Amino acid sequence: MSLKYRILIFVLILAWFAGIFIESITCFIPDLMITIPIFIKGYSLTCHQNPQKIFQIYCGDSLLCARCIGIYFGLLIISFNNLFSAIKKFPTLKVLLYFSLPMLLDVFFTTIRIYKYSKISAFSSGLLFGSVLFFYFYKGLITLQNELREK
Amino acid sequence: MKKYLSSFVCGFGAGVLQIVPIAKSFGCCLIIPFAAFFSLVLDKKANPTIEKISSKKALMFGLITGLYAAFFGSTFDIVITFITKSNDLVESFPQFQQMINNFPFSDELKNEVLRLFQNVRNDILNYGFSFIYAFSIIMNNLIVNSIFGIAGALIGAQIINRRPES
Repeated sequence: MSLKYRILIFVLILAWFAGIFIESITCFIPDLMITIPIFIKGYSLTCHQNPQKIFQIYCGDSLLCARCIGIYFGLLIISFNNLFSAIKKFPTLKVLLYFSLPMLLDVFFTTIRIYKYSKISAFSSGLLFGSVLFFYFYKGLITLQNELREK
Repeated sequence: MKKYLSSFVCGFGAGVLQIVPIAKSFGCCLIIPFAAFFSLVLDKKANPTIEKISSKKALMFGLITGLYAAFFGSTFDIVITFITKSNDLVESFPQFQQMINNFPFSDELKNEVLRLFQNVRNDILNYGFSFIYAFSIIMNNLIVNSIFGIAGALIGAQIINRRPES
């Protein structure tokens, strides 16, 4: 995939990621205040937005929970890395399973209250999952691009 | 329509789940990607073939599942708001008011923003419908569900294609 498409993917993920912190960004750009309820509603489609599981940054709260932020941050890091060295090798499905296990176990253990919910463990397990998820998403896009080229 | 029947079924299911509070909090961001994945699984079951699912087909199924989910999700949300004359925007208005007041901005700007949302809230409380609310719901659902549907289907196609054929 050419650099311009990789930049486009990164910019789109970055825009989505920045939107999570719209409340904090509003502290610097007051005119954005009017968009906050729309953003909250939009991001509510992808996260439960539990007030006890969100991050507070500067004067505002994040619109997603720690785990979801971890997932999108993982996607953002790998897509950023992809700008400089394009991904050529793709992991097998087992890798996705292994990297999603910490997140699934963390969800399971905190749900049955074996240990208390921690934003750090939620964020880091989400980060692991998100970083490997990008490889599959990117591979899907490459396959799609190749199919369109063939026609 | 028949070609995308599985997308219709899964999109309808996802649209319903999106507005059920408990299911919504459990499903999180997985509802739409899973719906797109299951639409491909259902289509494969309905039309058995040894051919692998192409990314183009996955893209279309993901997009259409997302669009159906957006259509049903928005419709149910607007209809329920119309019947109950309440929704999460109305219920969370006091918190929103508090949040706006906590921002370090001029009172003029804060009042302007609050006035706008007070109008939306009043429309919903009095008539059960607000054009601004309905428009923002439809746009949000269309954009978010389409993107998540496409992502879910592109990843899902790889999972299905790697399965050994029985």
